[in-house]
Amino acid sequence: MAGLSKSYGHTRVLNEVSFGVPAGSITGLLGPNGAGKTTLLRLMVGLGRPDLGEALFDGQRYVDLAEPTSVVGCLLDASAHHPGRSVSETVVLHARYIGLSARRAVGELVDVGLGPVLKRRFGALSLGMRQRVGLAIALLGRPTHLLLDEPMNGLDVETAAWVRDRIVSFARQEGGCVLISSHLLQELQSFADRIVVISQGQLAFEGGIEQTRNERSCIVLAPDTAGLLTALNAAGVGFAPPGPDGRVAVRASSATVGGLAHRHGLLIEELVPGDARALESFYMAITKGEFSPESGVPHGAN
Amino acid sequence: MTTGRLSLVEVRKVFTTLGSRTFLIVVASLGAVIAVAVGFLGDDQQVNAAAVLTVLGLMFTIAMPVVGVLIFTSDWQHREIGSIFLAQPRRSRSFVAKLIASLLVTALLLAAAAGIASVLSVGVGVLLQRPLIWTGLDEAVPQLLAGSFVGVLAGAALGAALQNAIGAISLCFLQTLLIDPLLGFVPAGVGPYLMTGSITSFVTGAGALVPFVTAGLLWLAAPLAIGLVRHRLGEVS
Repeated sequence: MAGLSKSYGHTRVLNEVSFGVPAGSITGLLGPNGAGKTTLLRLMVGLGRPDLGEALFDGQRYVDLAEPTSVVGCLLDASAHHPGRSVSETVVLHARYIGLSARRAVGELVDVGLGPVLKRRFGALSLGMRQRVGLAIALLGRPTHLLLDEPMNGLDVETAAWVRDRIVSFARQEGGCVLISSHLLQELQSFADRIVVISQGQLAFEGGIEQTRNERSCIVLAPDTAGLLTALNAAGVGFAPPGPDGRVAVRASSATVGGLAHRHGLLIEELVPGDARALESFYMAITKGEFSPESGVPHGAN
Repeated sequence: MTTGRLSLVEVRKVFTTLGSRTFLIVVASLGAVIAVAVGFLGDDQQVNAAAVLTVLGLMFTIAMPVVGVLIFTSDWQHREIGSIFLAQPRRSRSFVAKLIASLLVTALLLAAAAGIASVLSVGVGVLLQRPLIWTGLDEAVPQLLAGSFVGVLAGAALGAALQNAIGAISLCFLQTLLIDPLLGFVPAGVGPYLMTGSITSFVTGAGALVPFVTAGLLWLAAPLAIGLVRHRLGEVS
C-alpha cells in the first residue's frame, strides 16, 4: 500500500498511509475508533475511492484483478446480507457471482460449521454465525489474501477460538497473507506476526510483534507468594500486586527472577518471560491515549 | 465475469429473497383471482381470454414498477452491495445486469401470467359451460407487454436514482395514480410530453414520437443516468 490518503469534506481520515503485508504472515491493523482502519480496508478493495495513493495485491489494484475473489477474500461487515434470505442461498448467490457451483458454496458452509443452519434465515443468525457466513464467503474463491475487519468482535470464546484457528491455518498451512483489524489486543498478540498501528489517520508503527514485547519483564507464580515478594523487595525489583490467581508481574528478566528464587530457596511453579499485556502497553504508548475519555477528543466514527 | 451470469444471479435473487418473492406470490394470486372473476362476471354467453389479459395488464402496470424498484434498491438498503462490488468491481456491469434482470423477470412473469390466465379462463369456461373466445387479443397483448416493460423500467430507473425502496415505490405510485392523470389537465397540450403514459402509448402504436421522447428522457433516461453515476461512484459504508 503506497501513500493512501482520504478526506471526507475537510476531515482528513487517512494521510499518506504506506505499509506492506508479507505472504504467509498475519498482520494486525490497530488503531483507536475513528483512526481510519475500516476506511483503509474499504479503500484497498475499491469500496471507496482514495484521494491519493493505491493498494496493490500481487502488483495489481483490486479493481483491475481479473478474478478478484480468487486473490483477495474480504470480511468487512458480517451483517451486510439480506436478512430474508436463507444462509445457504446467501452463500450460493455469492458463489454464482464468481462462477462457482452451489455445491462448493454449501461445502464451504459445512466447513465453517454451519451445516445445521443452512435453511435458517440470515436475519435470524447470531453475530458469531454471521461471522462464520462472512468467512465462508471470503474463503469461497480460495484467495491468497484475507482482509478481515473486526472478525472476532462480540464472539463467544468457542467461536473466537475457531475464527483464530482458521486464520492461523490460512496463513501458516496455506501460505496466505492476512490483514486483520481488531480491538482485542491480547487475542491479536497470541497469533499475529506483525502489527500496523494507525493513529489520527497516519501510520504510527509498522513492525514485528516481537518489537512490542518487553523482554525485561515476566510473570511468576510461586506457592510462597509472600516469600517471593519479600525477596523481590529485598533485591529492589519492581513488581505489580499479585493477581487473584497468585501470579505476579515482575519488572525484571526471567533469568534475574530465577536467580533470586534460587538464592532464597523459593520454589517457582511458573515463570513466563515477557508481559502478557505488552502489546496493549505498546499500543497505548504509540497512540498516546488518542480518543480516550481523558483526552477530551470526541470519539470518531470508523 | 460475464454480464449474462450476473443477470441470472439478479433474477435468481428476485425469486429467492423473502420480500420480493412474497410480492410476486401476491401478484400471482391477485392475477388468478382477477382471471376467475373476469370469467364469472364478464359476458354471460362466453369467456373472453383477452378481457382477462386486459385486466391483468392494468395490474401489471401498477405492480411491475415495484419489481424494478426492488431489484435496484434491495442491495443498497441491506448493505449487500459491498459484497457484490467485491465480486464484481466493474460496477457498470452489475448495473446493466440489474437492468437486464428487470426485463427478464418481467418476461417470466408475463409468461406465467399468460399461462395462468389461459388455464383459468378455460377452466371457468368449462365450469360455466361457456365457449372460450380470444376477441381483442390484438389490443390486449400489446397493452399488457408495453405496460409491464415500461413499468418495470420506470421502477428500475427511479430505484436506481433514489436507492431507496420506500421513496421510489411511493414516487412510482404517485406518478401512475396522481401525476399522470393530473398532467392531463395541463393546458396547451403540454401534459402528454411529461406523462409516462406517452411512452406506453407510443410503444403500442397509439402515441406520437415527440411526447414519447420527452417523457422517456424524463422518466427513464434521466433517472437511469443518475442511477448509473451513483452506482459507479457511490461509496459503500
